[in-house]
Amino acid sequence: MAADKVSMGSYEDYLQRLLAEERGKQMAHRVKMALAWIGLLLILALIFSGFEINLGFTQIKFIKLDFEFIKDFSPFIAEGALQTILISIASIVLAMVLALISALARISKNPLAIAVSTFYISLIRGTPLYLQVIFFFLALPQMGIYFSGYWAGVIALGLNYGAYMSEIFRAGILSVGKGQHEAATALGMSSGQKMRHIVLPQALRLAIPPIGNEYIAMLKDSSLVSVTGFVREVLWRAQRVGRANFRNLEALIIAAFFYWMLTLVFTAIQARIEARFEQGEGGVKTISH
Amino acid sequence: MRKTTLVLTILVIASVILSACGGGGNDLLDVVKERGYLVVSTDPNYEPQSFLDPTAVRAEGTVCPDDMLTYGEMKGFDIDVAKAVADGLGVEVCFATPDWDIITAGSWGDRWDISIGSMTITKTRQEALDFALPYYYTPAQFAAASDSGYTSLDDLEGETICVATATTYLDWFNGELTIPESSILVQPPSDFTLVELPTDQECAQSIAAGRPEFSVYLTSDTVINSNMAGGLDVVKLGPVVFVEELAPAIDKNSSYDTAAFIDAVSNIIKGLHANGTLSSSSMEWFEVDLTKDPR
Repeated sequence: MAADKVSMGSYEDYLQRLLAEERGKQMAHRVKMALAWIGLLLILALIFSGFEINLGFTQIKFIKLDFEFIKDFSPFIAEGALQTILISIASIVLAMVLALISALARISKNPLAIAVSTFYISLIRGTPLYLQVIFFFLALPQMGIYFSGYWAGVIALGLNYGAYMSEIFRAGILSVGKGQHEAATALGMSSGQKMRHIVLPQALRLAIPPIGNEYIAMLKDSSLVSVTGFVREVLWRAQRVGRANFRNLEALIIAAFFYWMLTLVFTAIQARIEARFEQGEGGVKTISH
Repeated sequence: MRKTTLVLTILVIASVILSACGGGGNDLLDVVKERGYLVVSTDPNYEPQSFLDPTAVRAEGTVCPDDMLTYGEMKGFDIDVAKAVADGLGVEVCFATPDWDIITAGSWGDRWDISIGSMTITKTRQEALDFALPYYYTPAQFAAASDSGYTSLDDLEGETICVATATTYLDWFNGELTIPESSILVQPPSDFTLVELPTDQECAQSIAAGRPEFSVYLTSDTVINSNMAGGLDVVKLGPVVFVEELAPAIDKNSSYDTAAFIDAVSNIIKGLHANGTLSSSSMEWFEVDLTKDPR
């Protein structure tokens, strides 16, 4: 009996040790990654440092920036970030709804639904986003339909990204195994219930990384909406003050900085959502109680 | 079931089309006066004509909608003229800032009432837009990098030159400039290569950045002055090439009746010429009076 306990104990110790080792490895991995990031950031900073290094046989010059301009105009450009966020969030919500509907229509058995869905995807993916923004802003008024600059932009972006994201949803839905469908049917679920409770939750898990990707792309495409003249987001502001003050590069770098920060924030949010969907999947996390 | 959907769809489409036909018949002048503000489109890419003041706060008690800019947030010669025109109409001035090529294309969908953005009157533009009386005149001028080696317009034969897209400067090269003959003072070179950039400021920026493709650009005398003041190392090359008449533009495709509105704007501009407002405003922004017809 005693011997058993000892061996049980040492087995648990062994497991603990393994776990600690694994954690240590993960920690070292993270530290290395963080150091590499810091190194890369320093290189980036060096490129824009304006330093001139004399190596005797040759001279290395780095890009010089007007930091006075950057200090003066950052707040004005930053105000556009709110517009960028507002447009891209409304657009991504609309895009997801459209993508889901068109994906469901596409895999349905109704020929009219399939036709509408494929026509929508084909038309929108086959035409430039710029044209679509102009269509909702300047062409629809001829039919007596008025959307503000903001809403014309949201509808155009939502429709556009919805068409692209439709394929993401379709792939997600199709990836759910046949066995899952059969099991749900065996449980007596209707096809609606099956879709809601079995297929979509699993499909969504697969769809989240590419949706996050699309969202980040949209964040930057949202600048197209400023052509309407009623939306003044980050890039629009940067271009205007940059041109007017003869500091294009500085202004665009300020804009780039804000886009990057927004992207980092949303990447973090995406990682959390992904982690939440992972939980039910028996990943590494379920081992450590 | 299917039939009902079809009928419903047709009804919706028909009602949309019918509602579109319902508009019109309204007079733009009355609409603007009743609304209490004039929506002016201008591209704030051009100092000192039209530019943003990043430090300005929104005009207090403004009636301008949230997505438009107010007087003060926008500054420049065009902006002051727009303000004076709105004052003449007895309304507040509000600004929309669409891209330049959207303004020149017409068919504004009644999004803004008028463009006061240093637009040159050309025959092509007159197909899409109506113009009120000109409020000032701009000489077109070449500028070349100081170290370009160009000394006269003859040196430009066969060279690469930068111009902005959808401008009269581009039209001049292509022989498509449709301003009055008497306003064209020099003919373009017989052989040249053009680099078209979105605005003439990009031409200037490219030269400043030391890009090798070109070292000369054609734009307005005023833009060159401001570029030189901004520290760009260029010199003016040769004489004035042509003179543009710059006037407020109104959409021909407007769903409103614009005749009375255009007359009202022209009358206000006539008054601003007569009482010296335009001259002093030009002196303030350009340090030279550009409001007298040079011909």
